[in-house]
Amino acid sequence: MGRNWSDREVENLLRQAVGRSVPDVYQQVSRVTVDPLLNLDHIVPPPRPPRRRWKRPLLILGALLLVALCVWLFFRYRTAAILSVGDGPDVELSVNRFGQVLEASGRSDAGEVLLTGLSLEGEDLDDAVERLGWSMANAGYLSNGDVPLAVDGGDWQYNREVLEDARDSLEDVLENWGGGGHVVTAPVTSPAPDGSLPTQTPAGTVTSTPAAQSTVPAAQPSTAVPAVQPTTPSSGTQSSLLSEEAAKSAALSHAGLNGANVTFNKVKLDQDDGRTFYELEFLCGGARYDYEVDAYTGAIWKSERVGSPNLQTITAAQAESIALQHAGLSAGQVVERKSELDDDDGVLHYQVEFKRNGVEYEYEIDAVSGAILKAERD
Amino acid sequence: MMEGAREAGRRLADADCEGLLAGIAQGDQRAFSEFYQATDRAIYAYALSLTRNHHDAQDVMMDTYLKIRSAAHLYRPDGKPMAWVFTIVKNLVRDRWRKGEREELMGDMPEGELAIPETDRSDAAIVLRQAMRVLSAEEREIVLLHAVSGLKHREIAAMLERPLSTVLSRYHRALGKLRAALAEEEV
Repeated sequence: MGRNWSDREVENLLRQAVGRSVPDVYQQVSRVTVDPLLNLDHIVPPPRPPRRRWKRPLLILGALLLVALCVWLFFRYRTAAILSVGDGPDVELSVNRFGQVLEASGRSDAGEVLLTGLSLEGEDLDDAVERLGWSMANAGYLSNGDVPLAVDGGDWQYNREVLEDARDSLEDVLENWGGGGHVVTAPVTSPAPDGSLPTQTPAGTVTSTPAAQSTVPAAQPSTAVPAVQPTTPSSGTQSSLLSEEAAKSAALSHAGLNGANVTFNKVKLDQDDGRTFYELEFLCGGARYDYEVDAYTGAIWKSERVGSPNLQTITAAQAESIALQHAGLSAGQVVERKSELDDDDGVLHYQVEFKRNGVEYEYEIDAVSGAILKAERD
Repeated sequence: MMEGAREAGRRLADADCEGLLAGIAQGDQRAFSEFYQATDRAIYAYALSLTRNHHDAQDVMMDTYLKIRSAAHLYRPDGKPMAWVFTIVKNLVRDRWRKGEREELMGDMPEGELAIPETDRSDAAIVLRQAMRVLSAEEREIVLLHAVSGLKHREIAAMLERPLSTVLSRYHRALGKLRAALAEEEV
C-alpha cells in the first residue's frame, strides 16, 4: 500500500525514534557517589580469558610438532639396516634412517677386538666404515683376503644405499692402503620367499688393483672363484659366492635329477645386466639342460630342457665310432678326436670331430637314432 | 536531551571506549561524561528492547551507568567494551525481573508505554511501536543492537552466543515485519 521502505530507512526511523525517547539521566548517575565494586557480582561479567582465540591454532601446532618430533625420534633411534663387515673379524653396524651408526658390535672375538677404542656410535656411516676399514688395515685384515659386505634391513632401496656407501668408503681405504684386498658385496634383493625371480640391485665385486677388470673373470669349469667361502643356497642374502657344487646342486634339484647319469658340459660364472650367475649345461639321458643359477642365492634364473631324459640315446663313444666308420678310419688313425652332445632346434645330436693328416672331419650324429645328420671334411 | 555534537547513530570507536572506561575506573569525571554521551542511546535502546517499556528502560539505563562507574576497574580490555556494557544491561534486566519474582527469562515482557505518545503517528513512532509490538524478543534485541547501538552482526552473534547466520536471518525477518507494519499503517 505505501511506499517501499528500504532496510536503511527503517533503521533510520528506529534511530530517530530512540533519539526522541532516550532520557537524560546524566545528572542522576554522575552525581551519586559510588563505591568501587570489590568482587564480581552476578551483574558484571567476568573478564574473558585472554587469548582464547589463539588457543586452538596453538594446540594444533603443538600437536603437529609433537607428531613431527615422534617421527623424528622414530627414525633417529630405530635401526633401519644392519651392515656386516668382514668375515673374521666380523663387525655389525646398526644404522638408522639418517645414515648414522646406532650401534657397533663384533660378531666374533676378533670383531670385538677390532672395535675396542673405536667409538662408532653416532658417526655417519661412511666415516664409521672408513675408520673401521683403517682399523682392519692396521690389524692386517686387508692385506690379501676379500672383505665381504652385506646389508640386511626392511627397505631394500635403503639397504642398497647403505651398501653402496659402505662399499665406497671401504674401497677408498683399500685404495690408499694398497695390499690387494677386495670388497665383495652381496646383492641387495627384495625378499622372495619362494625362491622365484627376486628383484636384484646391481652389485659386484670391486677390486683395488687398477689392472683388474670390473667384472669377475670367467672361471674354468670346475675351478672355484678365488678366495670365496662356500655357502648353501637355501639361506637368504649371502655374503659370498656360491661354490660350483652348490650351483650344480641347485640346478639338479630344480631339474629333478640326483646327479647320477648326469654329465656337466659347462659350469661358468658370468655376469649380465648387473646379475652374477652360474651358467650350467648338462645332459641326462636324452635331455640337455640349460640353467642360469644366481651366484649368491642359488635361485634359478633360467631353466631349459631339450629332449626327454628318459629317451634312450647312444653314447658319445658310439657316435664317434659311427662317424669314424663313415670316414673309413679307425680311432687310432686320428688325432684331436672329440665329441659333444648338442641340439639344433630340438634335435639332439652328437657333434663329432677329428683330424687326420691335416684334414678336419666334422660329423653330426643323431643321438637317438645314430643317423648321420651331417658330414663335413676340409 | 543531550544531543551535543553527536549525530544519531554515531558510535565511538572501541579503542576510545576502552580508554574512557579506564578513565572512569580512575574516577575521571570527564571520561565518564564523554562515555555517557557516546553510549546513552545505545544503552537505552538495548534496555528498551528487553523491557519493552520506557519506564523500566530508563531505570535499567541508570543502573547500568552506576554499575559501570563502580565496576569499570574490573573491565579487562579485550577489544569489546560495548559487549561488556550490554551484558551488564542484560544481567540487570534479568536480575530485576527475578527479584520481582517473574520467572520468565525475558521470554517476553508485556508491552508497555513508550516515551513517544500513542497519538504520535510519525513514521519513526510507528516503527518503534511496531518493533515493540510485533517482533519476537530476540528480533527486538538484534534489530536495536544493530540499528541503534551500532553493533555489527558478527558482534551481536558473539554477544548473544548465536550463529551468525541465525542473527542475519532474524534481522532481515525483523526488518521485513517492520516494513510490512509500516506499509499497513499508512492508509
